[in-house]
Amino acid sequence: MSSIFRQARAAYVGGQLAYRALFNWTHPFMYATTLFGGPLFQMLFFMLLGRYTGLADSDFYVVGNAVLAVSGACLFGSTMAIANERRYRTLGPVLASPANRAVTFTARGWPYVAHGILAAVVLLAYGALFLGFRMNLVRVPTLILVMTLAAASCSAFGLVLGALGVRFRDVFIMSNIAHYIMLMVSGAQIPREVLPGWLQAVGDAMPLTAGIEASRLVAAGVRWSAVWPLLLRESIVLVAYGALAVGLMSFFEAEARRSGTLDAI
Amino acid sequence: MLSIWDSTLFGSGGAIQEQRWLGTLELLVAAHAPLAATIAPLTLATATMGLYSFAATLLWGWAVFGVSLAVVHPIAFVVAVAVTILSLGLLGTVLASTFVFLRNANALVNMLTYPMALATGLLVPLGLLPGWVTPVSWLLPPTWGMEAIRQAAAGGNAWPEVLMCLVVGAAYGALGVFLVGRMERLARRHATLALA
Repeated sequence: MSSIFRQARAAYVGGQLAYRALFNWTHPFMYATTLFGGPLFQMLFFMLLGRYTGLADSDFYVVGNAVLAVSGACLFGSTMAIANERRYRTLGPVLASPANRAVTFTARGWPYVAHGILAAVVLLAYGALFLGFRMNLVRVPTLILVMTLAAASCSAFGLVLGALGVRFRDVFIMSNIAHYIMLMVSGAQIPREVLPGWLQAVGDAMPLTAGIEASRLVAAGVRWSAVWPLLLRESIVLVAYGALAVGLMSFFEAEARRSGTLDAI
Repeated sequence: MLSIWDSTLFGSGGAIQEQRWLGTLELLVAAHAPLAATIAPLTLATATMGLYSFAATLLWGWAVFGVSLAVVHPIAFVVAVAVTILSLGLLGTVLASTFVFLRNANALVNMLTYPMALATGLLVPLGLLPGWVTPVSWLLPPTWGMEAIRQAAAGGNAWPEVLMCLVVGAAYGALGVFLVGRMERLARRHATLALA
């Protein structure tokens, strides 16, 4: 029991320290622009584009972008959690420690989940205040739970990309491409029905897709029986990417130790 | 156009941030040449990189979506594209100045992609936005650059917009030179230049 407690404490403290150190914001204004500014302008842009093209209504973009705000924080934050260790030349000491790798790196994701949820709640509130978005308030806790699951799977995906950062020099190219793919195939900005079948299949394998659909159903007040299969799908995506992240991290760590490239930037 | 803007935005910031991470920013600042003269070629180069995205987007549009690439006034079109890239590069010096002083201005820059796309009417007509956005759009080079490119392609008179793009770009260039100097002095005073 004490071992589990120790691991949980290490996960909490490690995640908190890594978030503060590697997210490297120096001023509250910078933090606020990262957290709220980007997602807010993205939502307004796609909502206006959607209205102009007649693709979808405001509610579609408010919920989609609220979940996507979670993804942005978790995807880039989790990638930075590993890739920035390398950039700041602190990855060596982290990997030299006897701490459990899975705990160390999965713990890096939790602050970004909390960060993303906060951004999502702000977007929902903005949508309710200025864009006519309405949902039953009783369903808000359920919606936050669904978003938390989507955030966790996004964090796992971000850790996969971060693990690639142990091997490749500029992993942010990959996380940017991944982010744009998610914009396109997750159903956040474009209704999935208008996508070709192969792009829908790509979306099925990505985090967030099921989470966004589940969030929209929860916000619309649809029965739970229609929601849980989507949550099951998102959970499978979470476990798959989590396992892949741990596996890749171990593999690239061993490779970097063998070839002496851990600190090469 | 959005891709050229993205290239300028992230390239201008990245140019300074990379120098800082690699420990060469102090050397550039300590050199005899004015810092603005060092930064301007970097921002112009990153804006020019956007030319690839511009060409690739046109080719993809033609190859995949069957968009016509017919240009009625090719010379005006080429000049309009060149002037737009130049003016965006000069705007990039203003952005780069924030990176000289601020340790992590990426946050600020990450936020600017969509506001620029909205305020310049690149993808959504300005008529859908509040009235005050239109005067703001006049102060931004992509508004004039995009209009010049559209006019040249469609057979209109692109030269007034080309001129306006040049004027607005020159104004940003002058502002950039002033701000780079100012931010450099602030960074020296606060000893934040080398902080990564």
